[in-house]
Formats: sequence, C-alpha cells, structure tokens
Amino acid sequence: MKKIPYSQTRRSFLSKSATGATAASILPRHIFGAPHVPPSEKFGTALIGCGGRGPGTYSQLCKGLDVELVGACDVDTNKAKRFSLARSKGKAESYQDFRRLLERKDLDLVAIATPPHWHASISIAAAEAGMDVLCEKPMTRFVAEGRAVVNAFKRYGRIYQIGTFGRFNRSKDKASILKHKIMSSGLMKDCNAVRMKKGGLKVKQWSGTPGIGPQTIPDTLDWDLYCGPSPWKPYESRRTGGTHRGYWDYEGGGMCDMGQHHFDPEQWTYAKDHTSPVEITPFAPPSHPEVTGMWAWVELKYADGFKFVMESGEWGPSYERHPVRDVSLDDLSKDDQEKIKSMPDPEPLLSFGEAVKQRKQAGGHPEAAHRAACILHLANLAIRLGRKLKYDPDKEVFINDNEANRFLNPPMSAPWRI
Amino acid sequence: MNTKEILNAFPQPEGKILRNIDKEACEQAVEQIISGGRKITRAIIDLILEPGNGDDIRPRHAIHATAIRVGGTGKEIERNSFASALASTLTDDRPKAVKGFVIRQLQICGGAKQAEAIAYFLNDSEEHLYEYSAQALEAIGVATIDHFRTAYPLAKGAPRITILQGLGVLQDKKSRPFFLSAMQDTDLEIRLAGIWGLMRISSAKDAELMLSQSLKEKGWGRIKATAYCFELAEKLAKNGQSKEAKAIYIKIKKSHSEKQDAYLRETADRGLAQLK
Repeated sequence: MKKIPYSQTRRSFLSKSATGATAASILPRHIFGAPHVPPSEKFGTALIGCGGRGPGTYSQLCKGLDVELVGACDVDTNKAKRFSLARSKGKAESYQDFRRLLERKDLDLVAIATPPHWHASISIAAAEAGMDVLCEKPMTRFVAEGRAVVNAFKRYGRIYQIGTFGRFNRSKDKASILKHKIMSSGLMKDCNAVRMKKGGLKVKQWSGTPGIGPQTIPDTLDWDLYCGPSPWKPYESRRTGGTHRGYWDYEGGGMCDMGQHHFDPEQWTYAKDHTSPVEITPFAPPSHPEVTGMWAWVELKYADGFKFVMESGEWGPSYERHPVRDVSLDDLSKDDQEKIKSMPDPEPLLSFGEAVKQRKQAGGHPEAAHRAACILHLANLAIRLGRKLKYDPDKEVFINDNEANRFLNPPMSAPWRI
Repeated sequence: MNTKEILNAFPQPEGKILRNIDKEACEQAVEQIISGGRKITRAIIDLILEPGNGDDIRPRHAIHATAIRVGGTGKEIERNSFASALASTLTDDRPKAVKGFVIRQLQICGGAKQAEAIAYFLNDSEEHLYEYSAQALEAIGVATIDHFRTAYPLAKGAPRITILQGLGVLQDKKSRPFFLSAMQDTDLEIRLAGIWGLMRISSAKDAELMLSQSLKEKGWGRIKATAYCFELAEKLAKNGQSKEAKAIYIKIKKSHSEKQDAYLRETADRGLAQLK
C-alpha cells in the first residue's frame, strides 16, 4: 500500500484521489479533525490480539464501515500472520508489539481482543494515538483501569464501544424501555427490586488449574509482553489461549468472561450506567492465590435499594436473602405513573459504525462499559475477600477497608502504567 | 489442629480445578493459622516449594486465604501479627521464588512495619523479586517512599524503571531530581517514566521541559509523552492552576501543527474550553 506523506493536505489528497493516483491509499481520519468525517471514506483498521475472539471482534469493528485492514498484532507472531493472511491475503503488516502498530499514520480504528489484562492499557494508548476502539469484554481487569479509559476517551474525543451488544436490543424493547424510564425518573424510592442471574457464569468452566509447573515458552511467543502490566509469572500454557480466564492475573473467571454480557444490558434497563453498587455481600470459600474457583452467590445493592444477584448454581447454597422481584409501574403512585407515561423514550443507541461516522458516543460507551465491568470486579472482589464490602460509587473506593482498596488499583508492572 | 490437619481443610484439584471446597473447614483452618501465630505460619511456608518442584497447592492456598481474611476494619492485631510472621520468613535461606510468593501475600496484608523486609529485594533481579517488592510497597503506600528513594540511585537494569515508576505511583515530590534526570536517559521507557513521574507530582515548573521532551520523541515515545503533558494540564487545572494548564494546552496546539496532529489540537481545545 502506498503511504501518503504526512505533509499531504486533505485538498491535495482529494485532488489526487479524483484522478485515481492514490485510490488505494488510506488517509487517517483524525488528520481531518473529529467533526468533519465524510461517511464514505475508507478507514484503516487493525486487530490487536488475533487468537480466540479476535476475528469475531474485528468483524464487529467493520460493521457498516468501508475498511481496509492495515495491521494485525499479537504477542504470538503466528497468530498475527494467520489473521493477516486470512483477512488481507497477507497485505496487512504483522506486529508482535502493539506499540509499533499504533505508530502507524494510516490507522483509524482498532479492535482489541487480547486477554483482559491488556484491554485498558492498549485502549488508552490507541486513544492517545487518535484512534477509535472496539474492545472485547470485559473492559478491564480492575476498577481503576476503567476510570482511566473513561478519562482518556473523554480527553481525546475518541469513540469507544465495548464488545457486547445486548443493550442495543434492550433499548428497543418496550418492557425494558418502561423499566428504564421508571428507574431513571428518580421517582422510585426505597426500591425493593431484586434481579437474579442464576447460572450462566461458567464458574467451573473457567476455573483455573493450580499447581502446574513452568513450561518451555514457544518460540513465537513474547511471554514478557504477554504478562505486560500483570505480575510476571513463569510460563504455563494454560495461562494463555482462552484458559487464561481462570487466572486472577489476566481475567476473573466466568464472572468476567460472561458477566459483562449479562449485566451490561441489565445495567441499561435499570438505568445504572452512571453509578455502581454501594454494598456487596458474598457467599464464597477462601480463594486460591492464582486461580479462580467456586462461589455460591453475590448480592450487589445500589444506593436506591435496587439489587443485582448472581447465583452460580455450581457450588454452595442458593441465595435466600430477599425474594426475587422486578420493577413495576405499580410500585409508583397514580400521579407518578402518569409522569412515567408522559416521559419521552430514551435516545436510540448508536452502533460503533454509526458513532464513528457521526462522531457521537456509541451505545456501549466508556462510562457505561466501565460501570458494567465494575459490577463484575466488585462481585469478584467480594468473592475473593469473603466479606461484605461498602463502596463509594463516586470516589470509586471501598469505605473503611484499606486492604480491599489495594485490589481496586493494584500496582502494574513497569513500564506499563495508567 | 496441627499443620497437616489445617492444610487438609483446603482442596486438591479434582478434574484440574478446585471444585470441591468446604468453606466452613477452610474458614476454621484460617482461624487456626491466625491463632497459631508465627510458628504455624512458618511451618506452612516451609512447605511451599519452587514452581515445578512438587505439590504445594494446599500450603499456598492456606497462606493466601489467611492473608485475605486478616484484612478489613477491626482485624489490625491479627493482620500485623500474620504479616510479621510472613515477613520473618524473608530473611531465611529459602528459594527466591518462595520469597516472591510471600512478598505477594504481603502486598495484600502487609503494612509499614513489614516495609523494610520487603524493600530488601527492591534491587534483586532474580525471580522478578524487585517487581514483587516494588508492588507490595506501592500497595502499602506512602510510608514506604524512603525505601524507593534509597534504592533508586543503586538500581541498574530492570529494577531501575520499576523503582522509578514506584516513586511516581507514590507521587513523591522529593524525587523530582530523579524524574528530571530520567528524562534525559538513553532508554525511551526510562525517559517516559521520568515525564510520567513529573506529571504525577503535578510539577508545573517542569511543564516546559516535559513539552520540549515530548517534541523530541518520535512514534510511541511522542504519543505517551504528549499524553502525560495533557494529564499534567488536567491535574493543574484541577488544582486551581488554570494559567499553567492553559499554557500547556496552547503550547501543544502551537507545536503540533501537522495535519496528522489535528486530533491533538482538538484535545487541547477541549482542555482550554474546560478552563473557561
């Protein structure tokens, strides 16, 4: 692909394009400035993290957009090359280090499908390099990373969409819209609704295997770069390739694998995109230092009394603290019911492609994605710590629990930092 | 309960995972470890091996479970007692990988009283002990700053950036000379850690230097250095230093005039608009 000189003006580019001189070239969108993106132009794209979910995430990135794959990146060089071959006949350059990829000047959109311990650092760096991002779920590995992603995308005015899409259907569903209106109206006081997610969190499937000894690092894998911001550990193959989900260093078990799918739409329905639970109560045995394991249930209570409950259904007793019940218009007075009925429907959620073209926030924007990820992280921390936690959703810290707070923003391995 | 009975309360993998775990038995075992004091803790640590040298799943689980359970309000005495017992094993003749595991548990439950024992490894490159040490000290907090300050001038190789970054994490204003010096280093990541450190301590008087350095960098270095300048501007604005923040935004706008930097000029404009 012919690379356009940095100094080339938009006008000269268009002039040359008209004559076909640079018809195959891509000019990075951010050189034009965010609000002036012509919807018909081709976007330079890349995938970072080419194994497992990578190809699917990349397909989501491309939906509704005219794109050209210019880079494929993976700490395992074989995976990057395979993806480039499959999607661009090998034309897209392969990278092992995402830093080199993000230096490209013809890149506009990045799909991130690494294990989650890399999601935040790469998302932030992509925003800093002027790119829009579609990132696999879960958004982050810990709470402070989410706030850093929110801040970065706000700072740079870039588009971000989390790789889960259930909220888009909810936002078109009449019953969900009604619940959204009830909960966002502020008319519901002392809410006693309890929303239960029973099963489906793949607790056993994504429990880790303890006690495996160190193994030989494959030639094609940069293990240090794989560990990245997480603590360095000796290589074991189960720490990579999907089974990474069972290790605290990289994800957080089935809770983090499936939780954002389940709770992101719920969070939209019950109008909690802007906040987090204030009290988290678990029932779980003491956790292992390295691998995720069993738990019975977690209750997450919001300031208005609304509760999410997760019950694993794979270990321990059932949840019996409160009866499960949904939000209803009947919970409100007749006057308040009329107010709800007269409320306008919420704005339609924009897909990633629409958001990129219109330079408006996507439906799965950073704040919403962060708050949904917080549900999982707070639940997992309560499971790991084995005690009730009180949380300040504005300051994003636990109240009167310094040891628990160490897990909200654990130190990262240099040179990685947020 | 003796050590063996305590450890037997914790599960062995079944079908590769710890699926059959008895919560009540584990909680009782943790209580026994706490009440057993230093002797029982040391006895369990003695059973922890280098990775690949045998089965130590239960001892590791037992120590971690205790480190977790001594956290929270009202457990200060138990926490300090257990953390002291853990720290006492760091001076023993043990494999460094085992000491690494102990330090990681101190990251969870350690306090200022254990900082010295942990800091001993800040410049130890074996088994990534420098990294585990720095992260445990960062988790403990500002009470550990002196250890980083003492260790940094002695640091070489991999520990150097880790210690420098630790000083930034702890926002140590007295480390400004370290950050300034690092900004001139031959290693890009050290230079970036220096700029980041100055941002972390909100060093308004160094903004000009940081901006100049960001313009000298290329590629990744420039992306990150510019980002740290933006973050400094935001911190200064938040601290009420609007004039200094404004100067940073204007300098970035003026110095990034190339077409591909349009998004940076817009970012600066957003920052300026926030100041008004």
